[in-house]
Amino acid sequence: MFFIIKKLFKSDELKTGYLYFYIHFVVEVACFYYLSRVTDGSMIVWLIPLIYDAFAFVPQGIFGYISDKFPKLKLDLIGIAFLFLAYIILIFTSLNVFYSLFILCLGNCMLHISGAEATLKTSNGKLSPSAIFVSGGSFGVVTGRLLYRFRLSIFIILPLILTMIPFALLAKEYENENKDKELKHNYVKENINPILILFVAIFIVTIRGYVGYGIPTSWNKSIIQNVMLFSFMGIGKALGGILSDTIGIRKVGILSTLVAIPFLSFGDNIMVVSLVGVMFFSMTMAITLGMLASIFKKNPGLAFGYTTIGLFLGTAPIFFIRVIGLANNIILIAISSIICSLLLSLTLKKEVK
Amino acid sequence: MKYIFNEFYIRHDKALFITSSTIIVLIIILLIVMGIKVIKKK
Repeated sequence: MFFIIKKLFKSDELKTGYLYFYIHFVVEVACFYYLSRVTDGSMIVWLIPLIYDAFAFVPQGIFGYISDKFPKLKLDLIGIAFLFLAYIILIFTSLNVFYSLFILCLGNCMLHISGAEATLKTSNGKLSPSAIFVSGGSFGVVTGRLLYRFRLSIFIILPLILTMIPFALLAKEYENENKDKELKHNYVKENINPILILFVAIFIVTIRGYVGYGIPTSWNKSIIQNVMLFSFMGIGKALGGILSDTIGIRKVGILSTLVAIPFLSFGDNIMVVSLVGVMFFSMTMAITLGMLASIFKKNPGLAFGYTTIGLFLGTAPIFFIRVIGLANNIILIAISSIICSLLLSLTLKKEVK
Repeated sequence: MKYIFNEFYIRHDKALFITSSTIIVLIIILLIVMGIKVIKKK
């Protein structure tokens, strides 16, 4: 354990991961403070999060493709400018909220893609940097909501957005220094058609995205408990990548999906049990990214874009249809986890560590 | 199952919802096609 922690702090490959952990954290703080503010007491409370999910997740693939084609494009700085502009429009103009929301979503897309590009390109075939980058978002989501709940002034968010600039510039430096020409990720079986891998990865993310909202968490009633829930999601996402690099992606993929089932099923009223389940459940994120990076070695941005399409496809139905009842949710979690685990065991390579 | 679509659809801006949905569906189709093309190119 100590060896892993020591390695985490010394590894060169992880520098961009840590820098983008902060950037991702701030992006989500800005986005979720914004969402909490504009939906507070609003009649359009359903439509705003749906539009946000759609335009913050789906176009990431397009920005990824553009960024792969034009690596000198400074998507990170443009993304920061877009977030800043969205807040300026919200604060100082009386324009319809959807204008600033759309700009906020585009900024979010660009920053996610620059994070994915930077962490995948400098990872030397590892998953930990991208997993650490992705995990920052969970902490940002809950922090953004809390800052609004405590009625922190919106003017605090503006300088907070600007603090991302030095982190983005430094990450770009590391990216330029250590850039691999082609990703070294090689996690999927070569005899399987890559197109099938693409659909399997999107399917797994979609299923996990949908099921994630049905996890029984009756215990989650206070602010502290909510913070704990999101923190364990973040820890799980990071651990998914770190453990994949340490003990092998296949083992982590299959075990984490299966082990999560009893913890999620019986943790409805017991916080600690549920949190362990949530942590295991969240590990799949890095694994599906690893699968996609293995088939899109020259297009890391596009690869990341497919995970976010899956997330949107998984979360969008929740706005329209929900499975209710504890027993139904447990059955859904168990069946979907077994299917995902089976798909992972069929597609992931055995020998990779 | 709890269906909340009708309640949602009646209460909100239909035009914005339809336009956004169409754009998103088109982007998803475009990206899937792009992905398949990128894979086949290799």
